[in-house]
Amino acid sequence: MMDENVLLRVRALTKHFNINNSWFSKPLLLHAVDDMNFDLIRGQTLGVVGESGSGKSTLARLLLKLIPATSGEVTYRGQNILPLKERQSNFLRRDMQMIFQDPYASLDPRIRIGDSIAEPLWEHKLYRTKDEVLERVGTMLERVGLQREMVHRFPHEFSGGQHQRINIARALVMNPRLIICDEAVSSLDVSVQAQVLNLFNQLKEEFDLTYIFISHDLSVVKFVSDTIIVMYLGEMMEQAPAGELFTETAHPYTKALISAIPNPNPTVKKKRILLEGDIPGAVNLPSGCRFCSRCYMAQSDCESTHPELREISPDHWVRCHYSKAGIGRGD
Amino acid sequence: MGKYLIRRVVRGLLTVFVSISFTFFLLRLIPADPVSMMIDPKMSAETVAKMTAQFGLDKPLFIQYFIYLGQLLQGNFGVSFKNRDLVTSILLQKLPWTLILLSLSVSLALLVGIPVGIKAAKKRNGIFDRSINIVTMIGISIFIPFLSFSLLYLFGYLLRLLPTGGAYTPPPIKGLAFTVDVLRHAVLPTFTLFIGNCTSIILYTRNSMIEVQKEDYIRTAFAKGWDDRYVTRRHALKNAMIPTITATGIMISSLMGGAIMTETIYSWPGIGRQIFDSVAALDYPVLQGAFLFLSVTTVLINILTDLVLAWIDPRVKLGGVRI
Amino acid sequence: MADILRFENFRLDLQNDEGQRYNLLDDISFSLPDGKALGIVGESGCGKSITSLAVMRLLPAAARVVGGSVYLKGEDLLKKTEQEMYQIRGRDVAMVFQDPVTCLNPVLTIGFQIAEAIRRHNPEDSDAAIKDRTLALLNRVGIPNPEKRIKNYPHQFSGGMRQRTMIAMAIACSPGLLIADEATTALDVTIQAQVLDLMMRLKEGGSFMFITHNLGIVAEVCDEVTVMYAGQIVEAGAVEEVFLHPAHPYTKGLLLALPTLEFTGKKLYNIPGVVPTVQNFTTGCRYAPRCDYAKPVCSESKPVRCVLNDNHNVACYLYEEVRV
Repeated sequence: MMDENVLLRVRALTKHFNINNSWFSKPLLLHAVDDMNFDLIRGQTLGVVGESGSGKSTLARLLLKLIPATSGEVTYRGQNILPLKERQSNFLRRDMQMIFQDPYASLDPRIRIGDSIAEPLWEHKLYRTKDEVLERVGTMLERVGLQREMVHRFPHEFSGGQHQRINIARALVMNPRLIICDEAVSSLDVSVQAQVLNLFNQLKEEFDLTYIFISHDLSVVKFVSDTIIVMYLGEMMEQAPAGELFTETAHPYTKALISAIPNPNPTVKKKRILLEGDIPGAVNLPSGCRFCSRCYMAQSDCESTHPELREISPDHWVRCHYSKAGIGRGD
Repeated sequence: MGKYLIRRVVRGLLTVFVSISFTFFLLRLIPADPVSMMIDPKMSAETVAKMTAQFGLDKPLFIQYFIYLGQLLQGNFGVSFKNRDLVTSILLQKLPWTLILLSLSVSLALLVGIPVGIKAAKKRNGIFDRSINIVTMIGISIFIPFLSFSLLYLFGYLLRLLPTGGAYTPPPIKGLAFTVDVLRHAVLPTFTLFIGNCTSIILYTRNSMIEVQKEDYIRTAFAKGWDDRYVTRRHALKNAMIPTITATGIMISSLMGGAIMTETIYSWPGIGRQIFDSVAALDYPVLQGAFLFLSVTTVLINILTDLVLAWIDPRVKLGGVRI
Repeated sequence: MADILRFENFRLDLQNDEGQRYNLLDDISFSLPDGKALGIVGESGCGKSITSLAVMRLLPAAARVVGGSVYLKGEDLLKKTEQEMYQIRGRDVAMVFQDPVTCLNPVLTIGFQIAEAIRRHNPEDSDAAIKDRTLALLNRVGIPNPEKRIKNYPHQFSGGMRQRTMIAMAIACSPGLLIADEATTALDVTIQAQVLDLMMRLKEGGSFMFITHNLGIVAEVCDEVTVMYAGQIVEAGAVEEVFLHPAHPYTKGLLLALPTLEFTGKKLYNIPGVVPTVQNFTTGCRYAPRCDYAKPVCSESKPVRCVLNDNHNVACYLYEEVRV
């Protein structure tokens, strides 16, 4: 049964990298992403939050087919897009776009921004004449808060925030249905970040967009997202509607993440949860819960038995043996 | 480590094999007949045919190739077309001379080049740096034969200070006097090679020192209160040497047989000179032997360079997996 | 209480390769009382990092000091010779830098790099004594298995551990003032929490200057805060004062632009315009081009510091009535 509102259906998406590249040794697997399951609802923003090694960036690249998946299914418009060959995936490139973290690295410094933005239009032959293309690019620039005349400028003439706006224009010019933002505001100053975040929300309404917003910054993710997924070492640890993740936090890792965020209100003196040790690498993982080495609630069976995702309340999923909803309150 | 070495050696053998095969076929593509270099116009066609057969040159190309490979495996490197000597003995005779030039010029290049490069980097765009810049520009662009002939002319002819050619003035005598004589003869060719090598070293060292000096860990070292000399010596040098070591390895490989022009102009009896003569004589076996020798030495030097780099830079894990 | 650090009218220019000079730091004056923690907060290009580097006299090549003084324990650091600074760095003031990946020498062991921090100001100590102190430091900063770890190289450490190493090197000689320049910015959030916690524990008794763009960190870790914009100090005071009753339009805007966990709105406050680069600084108050309350006088000359109360002052013409 296909739900009209579900834009992407992801099931058991997995990616393992073999980091042992010699012919003579056994493959050494890096479990970048394991068993991702979620539905992306049209018109909503899905926030994906995690630290280094969580697999969130790999997830983005898997969805866009920039890297091949090891196993799993991603259903878009009724078909599984993962096995499609590059030639057959053209429509995907129009419908799904990505905005990357480093605004400076994403634009070719030797090409005028107008041409950078217009490139996909020529590639996919969406318009026929140069004037039409120019018109479209100019409109896009205005939509993102820049001026039409800037078409002829080079990237180095713009600031970081403006770069990101140009990247957004480039993503939008194809009229996509989905935009994946991978740490898109992480390298921006606070005041610029606010502008770009507001722009994201505004454009979502205007263009009927769906976003996947990836970041390590929970406060930012909370602001933009309708649903949030928390990832750790390649696995989904918790998924919940945005508000509920904070009021009814279930997974101990999520709780630690929330508690680690510094609060600009100096009167709020909270007791912070400090996790032990470093984030382990995603190789030679334990057979049980991947978080148990740092978990402050770990019990004896956490190390041996791998927890599965369970739905503890409507649309709220947790991968933990001992979580209960409400550990976010009065602890 | 052992596994790594075995893998490198195997790859090296593969490289050598490809190289000698390539050489073999490439030589025979030269549109000239080696036998024609050895015959007298007065010889009869019969004699010519016999000579051709003697060198196995009448057989089809691929048969010649397999015969060659077979001989190699038995340690037989062939016999020179020109004077019927064993290729091995010819090369072994020339090798020490090349090694003399090589070791002298490379050591001098390092001894002079590294400190100069460091000093130029420290006071970047200062007077010293800018003059060194000019000197290195000249050093790189200078045409070796021009330099060699000018030096020969100046020192050998006009001033009569240094000999004009060869490695020693015959007949070869024994003892200290011989060493002195050889050294006298070596001055000009060593200097010619030194110019090119030293320039390279200076450039590599200067550029990598400049890069290293900008690094954050240099600032950290200063933040501890250390002075400039200590920080350069203890922190900057080791990192800055990495490209220089790679460059030196390449330099040595190429000098093994590549100083052809220099050796020929100074009549220095090294491998480069031998290659030059053998090309003129279309002496395939000697050429094949020389190139085999060169591939082997290049492979060995590459492996050695990698080992040295791994010793200096702990991030380099030889052939292993870093997680 | 004496001030351990005091900047007085410090002015600094940046000179690029073509010889063009731009003024970056305009009349920076602030002080840090002994035993307190001061946060210097601002966005990119505001000059906060260079201000901290000025204390160490490790300014980048493009920087040119134009005037003013930087007093450490009453002595003007700008007048010291390089030789004297070699004594001061590491012993009286130490710094933890931002990027632990590039700030450690990749070809030297962790043990060596910590030991040399100790040895610099304790040249008579024996090797054994220095090794003991190194191990003790590693323990103190929470690195497990110190005996094994001193033989490791930086690439074998994680980001959090490298930053702990940087902290160990900085506190090796117990400096009176510890400066941290964006020391947790490159770290993961949970690791950042650990490192911040460590620094707070280690700061007991000493003075601390924390440079960051993260207002939350300053609110949690610091006693006082100085807000910088485009090379000028716009507001300064006790953290409670400045964060709960921000006076300067920029500070207010900054706090409102933050998506905090408590924020439930759909739109963040938008400070119009962009953060200027040093070539585009305006005369007078450099925030005026973006300020909702700007008056003509704002662009003519820089506002004088107005004292709002004991713990709070602001440089803005809006508060002229309460001028000092």
